[in-house]
Amino acid sequence: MRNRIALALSIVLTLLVCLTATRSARAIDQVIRKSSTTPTRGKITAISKNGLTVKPQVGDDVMVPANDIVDVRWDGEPAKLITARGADRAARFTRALASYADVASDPKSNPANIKLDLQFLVARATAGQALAGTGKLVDAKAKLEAYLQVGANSFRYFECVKLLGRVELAAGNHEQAKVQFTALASAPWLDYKMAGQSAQARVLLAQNKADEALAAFQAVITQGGSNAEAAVKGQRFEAVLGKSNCLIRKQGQASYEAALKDLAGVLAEVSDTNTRVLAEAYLRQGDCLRLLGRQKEAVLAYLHVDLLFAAEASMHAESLFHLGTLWSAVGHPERASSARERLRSDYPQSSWAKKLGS
Amino acid sequence: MLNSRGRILLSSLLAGCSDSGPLTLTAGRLPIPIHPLGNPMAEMRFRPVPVLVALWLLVPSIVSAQGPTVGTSREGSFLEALRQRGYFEYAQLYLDELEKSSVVPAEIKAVISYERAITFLEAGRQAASPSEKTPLYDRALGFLDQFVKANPKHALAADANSQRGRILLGKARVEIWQSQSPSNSGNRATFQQAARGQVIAARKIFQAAHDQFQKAWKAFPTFLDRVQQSKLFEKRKRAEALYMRAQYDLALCTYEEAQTHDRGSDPYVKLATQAAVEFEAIHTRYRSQVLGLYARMWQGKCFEEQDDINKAMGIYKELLGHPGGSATMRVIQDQVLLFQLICLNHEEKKDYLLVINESSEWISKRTSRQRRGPGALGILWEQVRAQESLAGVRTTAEKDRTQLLTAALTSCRFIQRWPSKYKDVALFKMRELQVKLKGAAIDPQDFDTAFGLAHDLFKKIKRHNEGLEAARRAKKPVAEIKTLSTARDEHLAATLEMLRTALLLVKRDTPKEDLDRARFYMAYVYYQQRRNYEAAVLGDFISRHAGPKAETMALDSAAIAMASHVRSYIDSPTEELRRQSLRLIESTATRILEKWPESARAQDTRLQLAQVYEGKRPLEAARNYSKVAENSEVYAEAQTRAGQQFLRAWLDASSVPLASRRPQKDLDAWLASAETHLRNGITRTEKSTPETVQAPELLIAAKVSLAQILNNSAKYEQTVSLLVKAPHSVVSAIGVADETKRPDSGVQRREFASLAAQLLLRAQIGLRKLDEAQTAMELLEKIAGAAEGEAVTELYRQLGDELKQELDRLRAAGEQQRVTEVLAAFEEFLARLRQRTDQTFNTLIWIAETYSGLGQGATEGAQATTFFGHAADSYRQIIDRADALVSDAVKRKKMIPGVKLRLANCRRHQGSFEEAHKLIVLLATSQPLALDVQFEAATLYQAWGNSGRAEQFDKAIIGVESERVLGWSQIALYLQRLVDSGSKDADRYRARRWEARYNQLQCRIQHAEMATDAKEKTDQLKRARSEVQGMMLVTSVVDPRWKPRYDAAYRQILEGLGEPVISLAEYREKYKPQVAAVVPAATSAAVPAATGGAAVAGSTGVTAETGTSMMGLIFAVILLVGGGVGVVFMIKGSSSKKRPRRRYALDSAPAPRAARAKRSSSEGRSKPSAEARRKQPRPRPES
Repeated sequence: MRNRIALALSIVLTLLVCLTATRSARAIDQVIRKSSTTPTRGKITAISKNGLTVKPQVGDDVMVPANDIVDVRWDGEPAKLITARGADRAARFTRALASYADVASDPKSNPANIKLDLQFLVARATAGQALAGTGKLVDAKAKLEAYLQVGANSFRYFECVKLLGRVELAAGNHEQAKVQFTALASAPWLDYKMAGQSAQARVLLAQNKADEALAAFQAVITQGGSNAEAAVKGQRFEAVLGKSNCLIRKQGQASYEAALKDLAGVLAEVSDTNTRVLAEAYLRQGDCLRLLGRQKEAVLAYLHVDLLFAAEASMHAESLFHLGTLWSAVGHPERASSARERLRSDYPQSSWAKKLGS
Repeated sequence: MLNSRGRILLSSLLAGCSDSGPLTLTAGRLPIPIHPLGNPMAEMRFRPVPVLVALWLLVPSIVSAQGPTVGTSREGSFLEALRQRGYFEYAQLYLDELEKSSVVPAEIKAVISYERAITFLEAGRQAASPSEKTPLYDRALGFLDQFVKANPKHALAADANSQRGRILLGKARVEIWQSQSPSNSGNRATFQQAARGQVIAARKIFQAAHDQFQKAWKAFPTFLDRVQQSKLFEKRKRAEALYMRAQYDLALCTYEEAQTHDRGSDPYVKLATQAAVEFEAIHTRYRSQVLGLYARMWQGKCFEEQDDINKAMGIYKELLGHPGGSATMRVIQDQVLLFQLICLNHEEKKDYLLVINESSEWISKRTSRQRRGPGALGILWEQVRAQESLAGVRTTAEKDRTQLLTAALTSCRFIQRWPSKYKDVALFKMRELQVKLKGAAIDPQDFDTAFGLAHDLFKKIKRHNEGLEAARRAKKPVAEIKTLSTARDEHLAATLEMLRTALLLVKRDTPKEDLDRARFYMAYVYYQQRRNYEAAVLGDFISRHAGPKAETMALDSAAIAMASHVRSYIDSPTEELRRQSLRLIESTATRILEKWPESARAQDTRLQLAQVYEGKRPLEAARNYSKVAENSEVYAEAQTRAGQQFLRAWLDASSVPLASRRPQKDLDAWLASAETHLRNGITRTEKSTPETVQAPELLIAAKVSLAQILNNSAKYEQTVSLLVKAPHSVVSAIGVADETKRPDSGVQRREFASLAAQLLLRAQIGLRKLDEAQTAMELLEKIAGAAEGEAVTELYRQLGDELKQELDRLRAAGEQQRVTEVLAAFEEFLARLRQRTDQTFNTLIWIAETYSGLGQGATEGAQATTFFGHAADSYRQIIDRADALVSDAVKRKKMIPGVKLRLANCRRHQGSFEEAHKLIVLLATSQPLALDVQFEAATLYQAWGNSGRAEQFDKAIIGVESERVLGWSQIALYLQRLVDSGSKDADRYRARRWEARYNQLQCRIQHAEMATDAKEKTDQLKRARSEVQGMMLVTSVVDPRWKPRYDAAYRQILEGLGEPVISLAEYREKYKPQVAAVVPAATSAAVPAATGGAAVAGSTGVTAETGTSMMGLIFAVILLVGGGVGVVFMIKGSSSKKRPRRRYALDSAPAPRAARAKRSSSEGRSKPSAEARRKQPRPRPES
C-alpha cells in the first residue's frame, strides 16, 4: 500500500516537473492580432466597438484596435472553442457550428464576454455557410442582426456590419446592403473606410452600374495611394479586384487585357497569407482569360482557387463552376463532370450550383 | 598545427590521460569516433557572429604578418576554432583564402585538401540526418583521395588513409541508421547489406594501418629515459597513440558490423561478443586514457545490447562516477547517461520513474538549442518510452495515464520536428500514442503529425517508381507490372490524401516553410499522377511565393511547373490548346532563365524549350540546344540536336519560294552552324563511346545528317568516309541479318536505312565511281526492295523527291555549275543502269523515280521532258511486265495503281495531258477517296490550264463530278472534315489542307494572269482575295510553313487589284478572329504517325526513343537532385509527331491511298500494316 502511495506521489511530482517545463504562460486572455504573430496577453479590461484594452501582467495597458483583432481566446474558455474557431477559419462551417453548439452547453461558456463572443462566432459561421452556398441567407441575416442588437458596443461590431452587408448583397437587398456598408465606412480606420467604400461600389456593380462602380473603385484605389500599411494595401487590392470586375463587365478585348494587367500587379504584390484577395484575383484572371479564349490559362487560374484557396468557400464554388465547363474545353470532360459534382455536393445552396441546373 | 597534425594528435591523446586537461573532439586532430547515439551533434550552421567576423578580418593580416615558420600554428588554431564552433562554411572559406594567398607557405598549401576533408568529415559527423551526412562524407573522401594522391609520402598520408576508413565507417552508420528506421522496414536487409560492405572496406583500411602502426611502435626500445631521450620518447609516445587508435578503430568495426545484423541473431551475438572482448582489451591496456574510457563505454553498450543489463549498468555507473570534469569527460558522460536510460527502460529494470526524473533534470539544464541536438533528442526519446511504459502500468491512475501519454505525445511532436535518428520513430510513436489516448485509430489531428506522415509516404514514392521502372526494364510479365503500377497509384493517392489532410490542418502559426513544402510535395505527387494542370498551378505558385530560405524549393517547383506545361503541351488535343501551352512553357522558361540563369535547371529548361520547338521552330530549337553548357552531361547530345535543328531550319527555309525566302547569307550561316554542331556532337560522342561498343543511335543519325550536308557541298569523299569508316560506321549500324525483318523504329528502320544507303549512293555517283555506286545501289536495293507492296514504290519515290529538292536548293543558291554536274553524274549512272538487261521491279522503279527527280530539278524544258520521258518509259515497262516482275498477285495489285499514278505524273510533266487524264480518271473512279489521286487530278487540271487551256482552271478548283475528281476546293473541305473528326492523322491532313487551299489560290492567280479580259482577270483576283481573307477569318493559327507562301500570294492578288498591299498578319490583326472553345471529340492526344510521302521532318524513330530515355534521365536527375523529384520527360514522343513538311511542289503527290477518317483502336494496336509503315515519317537525317 505504502509503495502504491509512493508511486502515485512520484508520478504526480514527475508530472509537475514535466508540466512546469512545458507550460509557458499562465492562463489569461489572449488577443490574436493581424499585425503580430505573438498574441497580446493579459486581462481584458475594456471593450468597445473600436477595440479592446488589455492589461498585461507587466507594463501598461495595451489598446488593441478592432481592425487588428483576429480572435480572442478568453481566460477559462472551453478548450473545444479553439478547435471550433479553427474549423470556422478553415471554412468547415458545419463542423464549426456543431462545435460552437457543444461549447455553448459547457458551463465554462457562461461568462458574459465568452457568451457574447460565442453568439458572434455562431452568426459569423452561419453567414460563412450561407455565403458559401451551403446555408440559408435568411438565417445568417437573422443571427447577425440579433448580434447587432446586443453587441453594438462590441469589438466585433464592424466585422458584423460588414458580414451583414455581404449577406444582404448576396440576397439581392441592395439598399439594405448599402446601409451596412455605409456604417462600415464610418469606422475610424482607413482600411475599414476603404472596405466600406469598396463594398458600396460592389453594390453599384450588382445594380449593373458598371461605370459608376468603376469610378468608385478608382476612388478607393486613389485613397489608398502608396500607403504601405498591410491592411490598407489589402483594401487597395480589393478595390483593384472590384475594378477588374467592372472591366470584365464592360466586355471587350481591351478591357480584359487592362484587367489582366491590374490583376498581375495584385498577384505580384499581395502576400500569400491574404488568401481572400489571392482567390478573387485568380478568379478574375480566369474570367478574363476565359473570355479571351485562352482556356488552358483560364483553367490554371481557376485551379489556383480550387487547390490553394478552397477555404474561401464562395470563391471556391465559383471556380468549380467555371472548371465545370472549361475542363471539357481542354480535353478533360471527366474532370469537368467531377468539378460540377463537387459544386453540387459541397455548395448546394450556392448561386453557382443553381446556375448549373440539374 | 597544420603541418604537425600528427604531433598534436598525439599530444591531445596523451594529454587526455586521466582527464588531466581540456580536450576537444576534433576529427582531424583527435579522431575519436563518436557513435551517432551519443554524438553531441550540432546543426551545420552558418552563424554570422560578430566575433567571427572580427577574427575573419584579423586573420589575413596575421597570415601576412608572420613568416612561414610561425604562421602555421595560428592558422591551424583558427581553423580548429572554426570547426569546433561548427562554422564549417567559414572554415572552407578560410581555406579558400589560404589557397589564394601568396604569402602562405607551400607546406601549408600542400595540406589544404586534407584540411578540407577534415572539415567536411567533421561537418558530416555533426549533421543530423542521413541525407545531410552522406554528401559531406563523400566530399571528405574525395579530398582525402586528392591529398593522398598528390602527397603520397606526406606525414599525414597515413592519417589520411585512416580518415578514409573512418568515413567509410561513418557512411556505414548512416546505412545502419536507415535500416533501423520504421519507414524502411521493407528494405532493411538492403540497408544492412550496404552497411556491411562499408564496414568491411573500412576494416581493410584499419587493419593495414594497425599492422603498420604496431610495427612502428614495436621498433622502439621498451625502455626509454624520458629526460635523457626526450625526443625518442615523444616519438614512441606518438607511435603508441597511433597504434592504440588503430586497435580502437578495429574494435569499432566489429561493433558496427554487429549492427548490420538483426539484434539477437547469431552473427549479431557473435560479433557483439567479439566487440566487447576487443573493447575490454583496449580498456585494460589504456584505462587511464580517454580512449580507454571510450572503449569501456562501448564495452558496456555491447553488454546492454545483448541484454546483460546488470553488467552494462555497472560499467555506466563507473563512468558516470568518474571524477574528471573536462569537456571531453562531460561528452562521454552525456553519452553514457543515454545508454543508462536505455538500460533503465529495459524489461529487466523497468525503472521508468527514474528515467523520467533523470532525463527531465538533464534536459532542464540545457538551452533550447542544446535540446534540439540528437543527443538530447535521444534522452527525450527515452523519456517518451518511459512515460508510455509508465502509463501502461496497471496501477497508474487514469488521470495520470492521460497526462503521461499527453506529455509523451508533446515530446514526440518536438522530437519529430528536428532531424535525428529519432524523427521517424517519434512520428510512428505519435500515432500509437494518439490511439492510446483516443482509444482508436484516428486521423492526424494536427499539421505536424499529418505532414510527418505525408513526408514519410512521399519518401517512398521513389521506391515505387524504381520498382516499376525496374520491372519494365526487365520486361516482367504484364500482370506483375500492372500490380506494381496499381500499388504505385494507390501509394500516390494515399500520399496526396495525407497532404490534403495536412493542409486542412494548417494554422496561423504553422511555419511557412512547412506549408510550402507540403504544397511542393503535392505538386510533385500531382505530376506523378500526370495531373499536369494541378502540378503546374502548385509548382508555379510555390516558385513565386516560397520564402527566401526555400530558394531551391522555389526553383524545383518552377521546374515542376515547366515539366507539367510541357507534358500538357504534348497531351493537347488541338493545335490551339497546344499554342496556349506553348505560351505557358515560354513564360515559365523565361522566368527560370531570368531568375536562376546560372542554375542547372536553366540548362534543363533550355533543353525542354528546344524539345518543344523541335520540328516547329527549328531555329529556336537549335539556338536553345546550342546554349547548353559544355560541362553538361548532355552536351554532346545537345550539340547533335542543335546541328540537326539548324539543318532542318535550313531545309525549311530553302524550300520557301524565292520571293519570301530569308537572305542566302542567313541560310548559309545556318548550314555552317549545322555542320559545326554536328561535327562537335559526333566528336564528343565518339570520344565517349569505345570502339567496341555499339554506336548510340543519335550518333548514327548525326552522321547521316552530316552526310547530307557534305553531299550538298559536294564533299563526297567525306560523306563516304563518314558513312563507311569504322568505328561506328553507319553502314554497319543500319545492317540487319534478315532484310524482311527490319525493326519499325531506330536506325535500322527501313526508311532510315534506305536514306543512309541513298546518301552513300549519291556520294559515289558524285565521285563518278560507278562501280562503287553500283555497290551502293545494290545495298539500297537490298534495303528498300525488301519493303512490302506499294511501300517499295513510295520509298523510291521519296528518294527521287530528295534529288529534286537537292537540285532546287542548288539552283536557289545560284550554284548552276553544281546543278549541271549533278545532272551529268546521275545521267551517266542511270544510263549505265538502263543498259542492264536484268532489271528488277526495284531497279526500274529507282530509275524511274530518279529520272523523275532529275526532271523536276532540271531547268531546261527539253532536258526535263527527256528525263520525264525516261521515267515514263521505266514506269511503262513495269506496268507492261508486271506479271513477270512481281509474281505475287496481291502485291502486284497493290503496286500497280501507284505506278500508274507516277506515270500520269510524268505524262503531265511531259505535257501529254490527254494521256495523263485518261490514267487519272481511271484511278479516280476506282479509288475516289485516295487523296493522292485527287491531288494529282487537280494538279493535272491546273497544269493543263497553265498550258493555255484556261477553262481547265475551274475544273482544278471545283472538280469534275462525272470523273469523281474533287478539285482543290472540295479536297480542302474533305480534309477539313477529316481534321475535325479528330483523326490521329489530323496534323498531316491539316498540312495538306493548307496545300490544297494554296493551290486553289494559285489557280485563281494563274487564271487571272492568263485572262485577256480585264473583267475576268479582276473577277478571278477578287475571288482569290475573298477566299484567302475568308480563310484567315476562320483560322486562328496560320501554319508557319505556309505563311510566307500565302503572304506572297496575297501580295500578288492585292497588287493585281491595285489595292494597298498589306500582309495577311496585318489583315488578321485588323479582323482578329475570336477563338472559340473547342471541345475535342476524343481526349486522346493526337499522334500523327504518318506524315505522307514527301514529308521531310521525320525522325529516325530510334532517335526518338533514345531521346526519351536520355531526356528522361536528365530530368529525373534534375529533379531527384533538386528536391527528390523524378520527372519523366516525354517530349521526344512529340518528335515522332512532327508535322510533315509537305513541299509546295505540285509534284509531291504520293502514291494513291485512301484517306481514313479514324483508325479503329484495334487497328492502332496491331502491328503496323504495310500501308501504315508507308505512312511513317520520311526519315530525315537531321532528326
